[in-house]
Amino acid sequence: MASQQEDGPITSSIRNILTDLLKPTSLEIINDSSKHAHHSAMRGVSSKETHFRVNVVSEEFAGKSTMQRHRLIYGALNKEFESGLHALSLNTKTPEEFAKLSATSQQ
Amino acid sequence: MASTNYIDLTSDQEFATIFDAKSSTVYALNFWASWAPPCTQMNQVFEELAAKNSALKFIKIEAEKFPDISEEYEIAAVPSFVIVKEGKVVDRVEGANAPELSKTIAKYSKSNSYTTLPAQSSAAVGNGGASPSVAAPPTLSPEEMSARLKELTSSASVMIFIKGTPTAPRCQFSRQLLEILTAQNIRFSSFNILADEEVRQAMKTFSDWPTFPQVYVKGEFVGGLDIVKEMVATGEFQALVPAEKDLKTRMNELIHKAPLMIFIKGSPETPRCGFSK
Repeated sequence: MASQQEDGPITSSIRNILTDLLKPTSLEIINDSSKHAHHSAMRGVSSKETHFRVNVVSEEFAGKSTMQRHRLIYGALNKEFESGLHALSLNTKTPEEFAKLSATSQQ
Repeated sequence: MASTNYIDLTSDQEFATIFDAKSSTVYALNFWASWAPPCTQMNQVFEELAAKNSALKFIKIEAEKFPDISEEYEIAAVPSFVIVKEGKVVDRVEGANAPELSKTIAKYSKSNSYTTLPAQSSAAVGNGGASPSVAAPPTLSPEEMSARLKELTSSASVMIFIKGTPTAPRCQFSRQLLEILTAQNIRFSSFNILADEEVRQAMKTFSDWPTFPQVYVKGEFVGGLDIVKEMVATGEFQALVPAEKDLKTRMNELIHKAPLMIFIKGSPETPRCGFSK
């Protein structure tokens, strides 16, 4: 479920940039930062936008290896990584791959 | 100089004021408890080390009095010693191990000289692996750093750059990667990027990848946890990695190949000895 309630600055950046870049049929951004807030690496970091999971389905991924898809996204979010984004878990699928997955997985 | 390098913590605020994540001072934190007898001796050891190592700041923390700090540093048992440099945990000693603690403190006592930690090697299934020590002088030129990274990333068939060590990973993503490699029986070497900030930053540029863990196979960057997970699921990763089947494994596989396995001389069609026939 996309968290629309309070899109912080980094969350909105991610949303806008990826929407522009990939014109996704589905984009899910999950903020996991609270799970890591107490880690020593995060001491002194007040941001609540450090760790994210992104599930995105887009035709743009067709013909690209997983590595290329990830690089595409990481490249677009360069500035965010320099402004406090610490970790990004990615799940990238084309609409076909996604449909196949949904069909075969026991939901 | 040395008088205030040993502090017995009295409050969380005190910690916040002493602890400066931006300074290059190395902090040694001692997490102890009054109900754990081994702590008594280690506390003494800790105090002595403080007297002998004036460049470091030693902070004695009664774990149960400061649960937040203990949780922050993921203290699971006492005594536990955590070494922090520039805001990052660079080393840990768990348990009442005085020689280990002394050795660890000595490592960081060489003020200013950045003795880079050697690449730690670990084989997935019990076979020990000694690794070459890769020491480096501080601040290399970009070319030197690039050359060093090239050497480092090719130093083993499967080379992983993680937060922490194989026995004590410091991040769940690194931990997951280790679990996957171990489950797949893949031999690898690892480098703890928390122990070397220079390499950590340089690797981001070298791999053109902003996060860790990072996985290199035969000197080529393969990706991070997500990618490796996928590749393992499709079998792509196992195909990429050279088959590390030592004799024991091969034998193990063979004897489990079928419900009944017979080891004979020759083949079923052409047995080569009277008993096998």
